[in-house]
Amino acid sequence: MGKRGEIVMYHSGWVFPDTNAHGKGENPKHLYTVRFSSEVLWNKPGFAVCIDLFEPYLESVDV
Amino acid sequence: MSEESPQAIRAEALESILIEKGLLTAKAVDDVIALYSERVGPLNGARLVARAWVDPQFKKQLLTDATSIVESLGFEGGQVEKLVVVENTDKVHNAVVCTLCSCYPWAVLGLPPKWYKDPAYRSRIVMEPRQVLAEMGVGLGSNVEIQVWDSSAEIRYMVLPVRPPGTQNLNEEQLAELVTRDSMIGVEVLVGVEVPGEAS
Amino acid sequence: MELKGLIAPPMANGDVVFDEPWQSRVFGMARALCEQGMFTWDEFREQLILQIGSFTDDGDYQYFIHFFDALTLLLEKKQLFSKDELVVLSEQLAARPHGHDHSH
Repeated sequence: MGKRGEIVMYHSGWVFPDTNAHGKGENPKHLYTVRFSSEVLWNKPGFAVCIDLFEPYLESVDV
Repeated sequence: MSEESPQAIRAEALESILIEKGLLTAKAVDDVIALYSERVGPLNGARLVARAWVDPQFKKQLLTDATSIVESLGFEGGQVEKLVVVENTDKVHNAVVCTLCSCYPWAVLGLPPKWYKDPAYRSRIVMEPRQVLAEMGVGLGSNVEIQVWDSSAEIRYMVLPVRPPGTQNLNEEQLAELVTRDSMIGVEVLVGVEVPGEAS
Repeated sequence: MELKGLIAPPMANGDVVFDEPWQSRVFGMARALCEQGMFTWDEFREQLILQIGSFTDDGDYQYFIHFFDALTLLLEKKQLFSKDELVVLSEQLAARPHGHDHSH
């Protein structure tokens, strides 16, 4: 079960470490910065955490 | 070059051994580094900040495409794959961390402080940033939202701090001198100049 | 700081230039140990002169590697530390998983 966040930046394609670190090629993937509110992450108010995530780590949700 | 080069590992091992033997503290090493080099790297970041404070057009560019600005200025001493500058305001306070290792924008901020790699900072800043910042001397009102940027992939983040009060009469160069490394990581709020107008 | 001539570190605008973070740590360690009286700066300078002076191949001169070697040799001379410890811990650290520590 994932957490719902909002894409705040798109950074085009970057070398995908999941394959590159295993010698399986650079395999560039789209990279996004996703903003998660502290309510969603930790059930606490007042802040947000923005994390860079490659597209394969993301699942789309209905808005 | 990677931080994990054999020589980097040997240096890290040496420091751990000396600390364990009580011959040295990490802080003593930090202090020396600060004395000899702290102003060198952060000066690049400070110049960007000061210019953004006085030049709205530059600020706009810095906030939308900092990478090309850094490339065009040809800063040396470290790679910036892609640099993103995030702006602090009265309502939003940004802070930067790398929860997984210690990604850090060398080119604009110079050497990272030792605590930046500390697991406690890395884990707590994303879970209780208000407390962590308060412990570091940044007291934020509950109306200020905190945004923590986790430098976890190829993107490096730098904070554009709020221009301190009482600095209307300072020029770009004087402003740059006020900008500290920690303010560009987002763990310090710059304080105003005590006697505005007295600066020559 | 009086590391001049042959044993001068890379400098720019009066500041020591570090290409990589470990270099600054090593530099910081040497100065801090000296300030804490573990050795004198002159002793360190002499060791560094020996280290750099014994370097013959001019193809791959790397100041801070000599600096590091001088520091560890001096610490061994002073019996503050043994290289075996360094080898063991370096191997342990190198074996850490570092999937994320990408190569830049």
